[in-house]
Amino acid sequence: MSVQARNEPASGNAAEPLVSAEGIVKRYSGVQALKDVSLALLPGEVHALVGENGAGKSTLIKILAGLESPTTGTVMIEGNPVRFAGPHDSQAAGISVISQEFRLVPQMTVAENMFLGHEPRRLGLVDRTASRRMTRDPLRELGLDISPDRRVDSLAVADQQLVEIARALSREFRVLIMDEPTAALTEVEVDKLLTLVERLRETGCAVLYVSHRLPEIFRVADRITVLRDGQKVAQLRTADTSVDELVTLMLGRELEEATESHHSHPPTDSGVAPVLRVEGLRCKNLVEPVDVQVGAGEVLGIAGLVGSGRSELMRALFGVIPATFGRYQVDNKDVKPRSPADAIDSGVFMLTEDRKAEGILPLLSVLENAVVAQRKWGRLLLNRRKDRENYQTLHKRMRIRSADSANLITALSGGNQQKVLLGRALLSECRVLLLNEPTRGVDVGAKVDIYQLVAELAATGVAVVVSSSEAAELVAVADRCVTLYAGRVSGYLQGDAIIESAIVAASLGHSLSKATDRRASS
Amino acid sequence: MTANVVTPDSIDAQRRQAEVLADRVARRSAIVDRTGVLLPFVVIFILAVALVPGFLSGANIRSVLVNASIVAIVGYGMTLAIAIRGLDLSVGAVAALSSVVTAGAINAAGAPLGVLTGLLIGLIVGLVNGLLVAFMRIPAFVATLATMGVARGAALLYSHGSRVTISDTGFRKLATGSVLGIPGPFLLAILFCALTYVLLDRTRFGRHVCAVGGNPAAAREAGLNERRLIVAVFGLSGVAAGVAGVLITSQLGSVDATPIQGLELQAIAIAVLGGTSLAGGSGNLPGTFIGALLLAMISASLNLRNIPGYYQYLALGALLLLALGLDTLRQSLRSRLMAGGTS
Amino acid sequence: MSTVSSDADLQQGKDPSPGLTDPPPGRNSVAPLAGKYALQLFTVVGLVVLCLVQPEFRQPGNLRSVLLQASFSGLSASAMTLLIVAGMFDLSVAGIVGLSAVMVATVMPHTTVGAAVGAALLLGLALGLLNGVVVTKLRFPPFIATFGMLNLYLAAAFIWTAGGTLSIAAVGFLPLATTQILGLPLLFIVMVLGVVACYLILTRTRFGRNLRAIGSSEPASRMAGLPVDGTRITAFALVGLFTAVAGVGLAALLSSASADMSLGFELTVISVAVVGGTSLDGGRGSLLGTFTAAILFSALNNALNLLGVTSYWQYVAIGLVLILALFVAGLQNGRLSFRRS
Repeated sequence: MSVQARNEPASGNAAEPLVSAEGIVKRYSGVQALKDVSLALLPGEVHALVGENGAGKSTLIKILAGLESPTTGTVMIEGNPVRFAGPHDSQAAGISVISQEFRLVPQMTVAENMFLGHEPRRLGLVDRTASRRMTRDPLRELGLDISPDRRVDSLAVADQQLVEIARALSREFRVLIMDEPTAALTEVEVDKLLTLVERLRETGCAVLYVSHRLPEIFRVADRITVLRDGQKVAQLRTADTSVDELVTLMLGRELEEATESHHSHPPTDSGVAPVLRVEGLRCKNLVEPVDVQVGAGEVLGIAGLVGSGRSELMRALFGVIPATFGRYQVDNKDVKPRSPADAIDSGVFMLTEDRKAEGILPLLSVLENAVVAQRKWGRLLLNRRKDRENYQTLHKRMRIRSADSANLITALSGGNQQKVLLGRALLSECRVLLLNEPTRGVDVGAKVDIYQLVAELAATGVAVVVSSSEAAELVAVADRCVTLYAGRVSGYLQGDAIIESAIVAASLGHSLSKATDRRASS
Repeated sequence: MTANVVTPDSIDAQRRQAEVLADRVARRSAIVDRTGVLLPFVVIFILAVALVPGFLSGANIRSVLVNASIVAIVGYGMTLAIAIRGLDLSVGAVAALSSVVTAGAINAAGAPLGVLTGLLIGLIVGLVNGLLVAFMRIPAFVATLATMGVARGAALLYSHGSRVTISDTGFRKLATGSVLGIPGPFLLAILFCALTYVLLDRTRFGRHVCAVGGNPAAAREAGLNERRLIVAVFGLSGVAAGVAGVLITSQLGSVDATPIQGLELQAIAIAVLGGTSLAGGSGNLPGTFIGALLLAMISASLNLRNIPGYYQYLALGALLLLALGLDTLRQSLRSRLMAGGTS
Repeated sequence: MSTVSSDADLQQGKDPSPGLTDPPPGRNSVAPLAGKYALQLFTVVGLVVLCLVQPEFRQPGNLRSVLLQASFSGLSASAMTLLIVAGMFDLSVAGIVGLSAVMVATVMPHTTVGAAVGAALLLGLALGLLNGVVVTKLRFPPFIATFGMLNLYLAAAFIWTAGGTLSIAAVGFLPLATTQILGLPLLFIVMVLGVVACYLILTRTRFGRNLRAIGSSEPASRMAGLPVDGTRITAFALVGLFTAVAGVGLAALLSSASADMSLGFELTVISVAVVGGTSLDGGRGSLLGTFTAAILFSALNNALNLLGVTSYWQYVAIGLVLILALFVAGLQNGRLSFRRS
């Protein structure tokens, strides 16, 4: 189905763009990452950049940040063409970038990281008092009240992201490029950040907001540019469009079931023994023992903010962190997972939230990544034919987009990598599947695919546990939902009661109304 | 079940409390990091005094201090290299080369020029190392391995495989002389320790070195000139080796091209012992110094007890494993104490 | 979303790589053929040149000597390649050579040649296992830990031999170094078998795939349930075993054993692996490269001796060759940043 390029009605530009890119083409050894893309960032405006993975967003950002130069095309600062020799030039031109990757040095303190490259000096030496002083305010604005002398590697992930953001904000800039700034943040922190963005707009800065999170974009962006396959397919005013239209533009096709839920049939409580049965789980960050029960074909959602113990709970179930259990049974058999290997042998498999560090095996091929966790132990030699067969089945079933299964897995987009990892879970023939932030850093198309796959998996009788900081995600997939707050369970939701507001409220510790406050299982 | 109604403010208050606690913990583990080497130092010292007759003699103390100082100075350069996530395996050979060239240059052109030549040699090799690593993108381990071979060969060629003796006896005073009873090299070692400490910890240069070692990508995006920093660090390491060579010449008066056996690995050992993490991103200069003293005390003790030279291998091996054990302990202590982790 | 790299990552010297959600387009896995086999080409050309330029070089006896000398480093480096692929390395090989040779020399007068050799191999295996346990279970960084073990092994050998040399007179043993099969030295054949064995292990077994997995990402390997520690310990044990074979062979060649008979061996072995194209970061390795590099180093040594180049210049030359070969390899790999070991 064809989609015509949509563009906002031409209007006389009242202001000169602070930064603009015209006719940008970027070629990497035979592949065109960007084909004639133009973009203008006006002062006092938040401009969103959306597109699936591989659409060219990162490339464009790298060019604006001075990390890469365009094959053809020009970047202009206030109408004057410039060429950036490196990030330094871009920063000097007033562009500050918040990258997806944390550009923090783990061994150095927050203050040192904030001023890396432009440390305040006194008598030739670095002035620590000054940098400490100047660090407190930017951090506080983001709701982060930590000592500037804390080593970065001692902070939680979300706090590290906030430091990263504060760092970009502390520079002198007129243009701020934000690349997935909220990926590791929770609702409360996201809210603070967006308020900040709105304030920046008022001061006359230009903001380029790159994100997968459409609700955020609709809240804060004035205009939206859509990239697809390296081309700009539309530029719209936010007021003139809708989520559905954006998604259609990004994918180039109409998306059914974009927001429909993917529930499998609600489980029958009575009689049938649950596949996963855990009682009295105690581990780090959990203040009270927790019980978890999931029946065959059920999807249990676990919600919670930073510090709620949600992630620790998942990792404890998989044997990654030390924990004690009153009872841990899979299919009515007692198990004692002391390590991921134990857990997999017991029929439990987990997809971690940090796919890059703990999920993929970067130097192995797509195929090898998929087949590596098969439980058939004792087989010394590789059975390449069997592996290929298994992979082919997976490839079709999961709609993995990869030209050649012998390619390195790093050549795939985040969403496809996640699918390969799901395939790995499938091949491990697990009975319990734990998914920790399954669609973090995944584009819209793959997201929907993954939800469908999860539902299909559940339908085969696997017990699925999905842990997520995105309430909408849990609404889409979960049959039951448990919310954690500050290390204890704060609410149980089931069926139609699973709505975003309820999840968020319970995650914040609000008591639930009597109607929804009941246990999901007896 | 009922949950108390909690406002975002009270969450903040809770988090602030947790934060204060975490900060206190972080500070404590930093202290452990910095002073960890003192314990083995004290233990070895007590053992040496107790078990080795003559350990506290003036001659022995002097010998320990001088030997320790020479290794310490090389260790400072190595500490910088480790901080930027590299290693300099050429320092032993460079020290040897520097020592013979210094001797020859002193004989030919007098002490000041001779010393300058020795330092220059160190600088040149160091810069070559830096260029190899930064511009030719060769791993530090291998690049310095190669220059080690080249330097060793050059040293042997220059000295024709025999000894070079200096005729200027006045120069000997550099290493053999004392100020207020404190051996010259020891004062130099303390001075360089202080200077390097300030360099690494308090200057932009030093902070950038740590940044490149801790997260090269972050350093790059902060606009730091990674290449220049690498070249500079290896240059400094080379100069440190050059200084060591000069001191060796001064101390012995007659040198050949054989380097102090395993000087480069000793330097690495004392850095690790002293608390410098092999992961890069930080460096503990005082620790390196204490580590050098520790190593020298052990060597001296073995010598005084007339234990055959090859027992040094035992000492170095055991010491290294001890250092690693301490390092591992420190790391696990830190991770157990830290609040860190995911949500 | 990525976190800042953990300490574990950094320990292995991994660079936090750039974001992966937008893949570098056009990443292909087949380099142009010439580039891929540059080292082999270089070596063959070099050998041919040497044969043409230096008549003594191409004497059959000399060529055999080149191959024989290459066998020692080649054997140890083959197993070392597997270990490096798993993200580790072993600096203690000089100590293992010394100890295994000393073991052979000590035991031989009291028993058969076969039993003595067997004892030495067992010792090598045990030392390898010990290395593996120290590095994996105690979580010591491999570079320093195995260097520490090196010193301990050397110390043990020195103390046992009181700093001296043990001579070997067993008639049945010495021919190990001189026997030829089809005109090639026996030890060289053994080395070739070793290289082939390691190649098969790396590419055809689950163990080999696990090595690559662990070398590319240890945390991910744990999460996938792979036996990380066990795999690494096994790799260390293999290094110990293969190195002991080299040690036995060296003892046969020299008809003696001493603690310091191969000081500096570890640097040769790792250089051979690195020049052969095995990345010190792990996850990637080439047995063919290791084989080629072993021969290259040996040929170079030999040629310099024949040219009457003093051993002093040899140091210089070998250093320069190493740099050159790395430069070529670096261009090939498009290596992006520097690593420490």
